[in-house]
Amino acid sequence: MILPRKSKYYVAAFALLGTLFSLAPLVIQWANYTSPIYAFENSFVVDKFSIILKGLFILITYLTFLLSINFIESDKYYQGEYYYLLLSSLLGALIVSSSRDLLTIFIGIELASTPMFLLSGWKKGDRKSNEGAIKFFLLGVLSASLILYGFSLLYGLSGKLVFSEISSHLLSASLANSPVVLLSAILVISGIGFKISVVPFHSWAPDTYEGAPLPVTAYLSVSSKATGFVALIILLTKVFAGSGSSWGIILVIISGLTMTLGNLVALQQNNPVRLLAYSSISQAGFILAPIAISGITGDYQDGIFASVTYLIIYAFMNLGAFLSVHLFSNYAGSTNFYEWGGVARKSPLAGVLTTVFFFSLAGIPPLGGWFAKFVVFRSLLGSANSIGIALGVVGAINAVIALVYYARISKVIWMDEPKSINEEKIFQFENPLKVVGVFTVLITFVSGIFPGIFSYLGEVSSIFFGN
Amino acid sequence: MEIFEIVTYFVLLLLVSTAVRVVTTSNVIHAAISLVFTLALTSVLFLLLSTEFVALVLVLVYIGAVIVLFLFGIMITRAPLGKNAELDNDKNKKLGAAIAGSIFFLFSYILVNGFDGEVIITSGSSTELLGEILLSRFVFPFELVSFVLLAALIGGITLARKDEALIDEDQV
Repeated sequence: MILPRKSKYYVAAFALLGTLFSLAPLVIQWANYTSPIYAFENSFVVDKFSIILKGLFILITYLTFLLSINFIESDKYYQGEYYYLLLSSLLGALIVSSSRDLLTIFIGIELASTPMFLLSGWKKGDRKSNEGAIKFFLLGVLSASLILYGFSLLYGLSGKLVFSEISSHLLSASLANSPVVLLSAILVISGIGFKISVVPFHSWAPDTYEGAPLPVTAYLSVSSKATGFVALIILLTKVFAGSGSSWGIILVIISGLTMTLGNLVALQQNNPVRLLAYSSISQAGFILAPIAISGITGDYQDGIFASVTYLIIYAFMNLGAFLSVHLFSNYAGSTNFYEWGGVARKSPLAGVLTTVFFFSLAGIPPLGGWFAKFVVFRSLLGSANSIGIALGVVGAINAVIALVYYARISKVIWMDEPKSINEEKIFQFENPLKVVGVFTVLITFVSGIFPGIFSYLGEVSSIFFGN
Repeated sequence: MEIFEIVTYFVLLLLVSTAVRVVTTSNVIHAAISLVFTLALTSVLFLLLSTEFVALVLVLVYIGAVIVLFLFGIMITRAPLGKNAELDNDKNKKLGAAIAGSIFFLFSYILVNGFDGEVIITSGSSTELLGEILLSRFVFPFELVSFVLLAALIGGITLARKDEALIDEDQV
């Protein structure tokens, strides 16, 4: 705001450095970790679960900044405000992963999503951006009011704000399966359902994703979604743990619908951003599946482990997929990927990265997506529950359908005859973007080849979360 | 029936009717004025529950600031005053009414059965106590809200600002 336009670059550098340095306290907390630390009368906690998730959120935001630098400079966007809003959203995500009372978690969710309403409308002159932002805003406000309604019922029943007190009150008064608690659970699930864009609360996602600036879309599909999932996991297992058999069924239906509908619509898309929007809807179904089953079987640790592992791997490969879409749509100047014939020949590096990310999203070994899918299927089939196995079958069918559209992009960029390639046009692949590409590709490979690392993190988080 | 209950039900009835008026009228100004009444009656409801601070905040912030801003916004942006046929959507009226009605009956059935006249909090809240715990027990969420507001403020100004500013800055 104060700096002249030429030196706005410093804002980006400052934001990048700050985000990176904020990892340092996390590392120290991890190294000196002995037992969960509670603050503000048990409403805020630092445990391994929250440290892992905070690390994830900070890394995602760091990569989003790297994605943004050239993008925000290339067009006429407001830069200083852009970084401030993304950082506020990051703060909200960090709060959510540590919060243990109704008030803090609600404010955390709102702090994570309010800046995103504004950022999705950052392309001010663009009609699609405006439309997407308005839709996102209206549905976002509606979802906030649903969550708040659910919370108010809980508070009305128990008179407590802290999760552990609420759940013990519900258990002692044997209210866990009373209609009021179920209504509250349904309201919370539908409110957060908007944030994680599961069917039938997904209608805003494709329009908003298409309209928003691309780095914002990448952030929305990864960090906002992860925030919603973390809030959902915390609320379901800490507050509604006693009524799992009821919300489990609801989530199983939502999860099955989400996978199927997201995939079927994604098959017909020719705009890569809309394709990724529908694909991320269907991936949300996969992330949801283990939690849903854990509600029915009561094995929350396994459910949390599978969901969080999938979430972490999904975050990096999806960021990578958005990077490749950004590179190619910039080069080809077209938002129809059928016109991207042979663009990979122009930059083999970008082509290889794209293939890796899309195959990983499809779940092909040895890439990370394979391990994510494996964990989810193991949790579903291992539940030895007919509903879990049925959901597993639905998931397996969907994994095959998804391969069609993920592989189609790779086929077009490598094998199709060039249509719109202009030989003189230079393929732009700036250094910050290369860092993003290499980093995400590394994580995708490492998590697929040495899944032990991730399973260690997931296991730790779920064991400590069980307390 | 006590006089207190009669007053409460009367206020609630008025509240519902003005709230319905907010969404059914096709005149923007009428909607805003109805909203004033809705909020005023809500604040009366809070007074009846002897939570005078919440009632005051509703009057000061919502009626005093938000609605006045609404009205100014309507006047300044040259939005069509008077009846606006576009605000009526006959096509989905029946469907909307059916869904709203069923949600109303479902919720009221569950809530009436769930709470069933049980008095949960007997004492009202004192403003002094509220201020104290807001800055001790709840200081963390209290500070967080300021971030939400700042983000909304900065983003809102940026989106509403005229784009010529960007071009001017370039030429400097």
